[in-house]
Amino acid sequence: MTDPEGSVMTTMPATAVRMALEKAVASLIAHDAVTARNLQALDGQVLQINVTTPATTLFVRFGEKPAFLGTCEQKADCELSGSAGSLVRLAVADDPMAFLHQNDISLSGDNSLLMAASAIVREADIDWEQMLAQYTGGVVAHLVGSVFRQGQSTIKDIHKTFVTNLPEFLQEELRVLPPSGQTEAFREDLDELRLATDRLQARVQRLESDKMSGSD
Amino acid sequence: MSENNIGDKTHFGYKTVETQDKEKLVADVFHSVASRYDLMNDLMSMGIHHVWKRFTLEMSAVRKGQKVLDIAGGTGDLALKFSEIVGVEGQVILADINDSMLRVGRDKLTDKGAVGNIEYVQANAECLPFADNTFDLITIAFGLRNVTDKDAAIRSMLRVLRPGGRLLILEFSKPRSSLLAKAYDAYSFTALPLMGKLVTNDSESYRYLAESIRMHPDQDTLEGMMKEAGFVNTGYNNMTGGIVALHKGIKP
Repeated sequence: MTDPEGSVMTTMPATAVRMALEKAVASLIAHDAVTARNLQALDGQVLQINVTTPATTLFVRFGEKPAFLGTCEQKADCELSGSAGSLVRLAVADDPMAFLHQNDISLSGDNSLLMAASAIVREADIDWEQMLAQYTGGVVAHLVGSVFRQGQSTIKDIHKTFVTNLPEFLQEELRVLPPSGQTEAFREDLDELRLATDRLQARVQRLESDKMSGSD
Repeated sequence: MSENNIGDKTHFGYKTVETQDKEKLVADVFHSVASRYDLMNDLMSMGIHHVWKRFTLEMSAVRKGQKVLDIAGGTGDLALKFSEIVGVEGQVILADINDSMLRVGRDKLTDKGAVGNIEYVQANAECLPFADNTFDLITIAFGLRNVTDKDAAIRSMLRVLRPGGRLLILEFSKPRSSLLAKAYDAYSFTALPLMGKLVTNDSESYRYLAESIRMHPDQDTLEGMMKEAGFVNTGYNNMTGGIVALHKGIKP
């Protein structure tokens, strides 16, 4: 029972990291009432995360303020194991269940907890403007928020325009790729040629079998 | 394993005093520092006391609906967290022998919105005013070394714990490395009284703090005292090189 040295998760730096993480998450949730309410619905459930590289275990006990623990005597409702990189990608994946099947992550226990937690993270809508307003006041925060939202909208438009115009630019302007109509015509010609070849082969085979039967 | 009180005398830091006087002397120290207690803790430990308490919280395995006693709870850092975890179905009792500390703790927790499941009790750890088998968890953080009869306090805690209940003692202890011990001694006997003088205009109280830490039983002795009182599955975790240790015991 005596643990004079302490395991990785019981060391002071690890404890300090969990404290900081928990505090950061709590302060974000404080600015998103919907997320807080959704998390409350998972109250008391425990997710165990076993990171293989680096080897470490973290327990997340859900509630209005989720707790990040190094040890937990309560049996975990759901257990996830995988490398740190895979688990981080899982956390931001649009479809976590599809991601699970494609990667080196194993899941045991109640997967509905993981689904619910993942949905809460994806749907979280933190009121950044309110957070900023605590330090700058409402007017400045709204101004910064407006500029940010405008910038976000502009970036979205630029991205959309880029994605729409890129094929035409590559095909028609630079001519590094064939136009889609030309590709389609080539594909149809290729199909036609393949069919003609098949028919010719069948005819040659028939003629050969006729010749063999005539010689008999 | 019992702590050595010399006849009807005991230690108050490095001084030997009449046993009945220690309680008042300790009380005077905490009356003096109560209003700046949190600030001084942050300064003296460079904020690390939050990590020590956080580790204690994790080791407590406290759950919703449980009943928790935080002895010598001071300004209520642990009680606040316990209150959030046990919820409205549970109960937290913040006990302290010193009314100044209790008042500061009560005001702080009330200001933070921790109400409804917290009660405040002025109590001596040696004779806790609670029925047998009452609590699921008892914590005493940085308080045991100020208790006059530590064996009596541990026995009293055992009495009010439920069978299977857990006692956690967070307390200054003995550094494991001699180099760290020397650096820690130099810090304790020069920087602490100086900080005490600057912040609370009371260097003597902080000299007592440093002395009382040196007079407190080391890790193994305290674990032995817990076993002798009747606790089972006892053990401890050293923190910050043994400067602080968290002892754990279960009531059979």
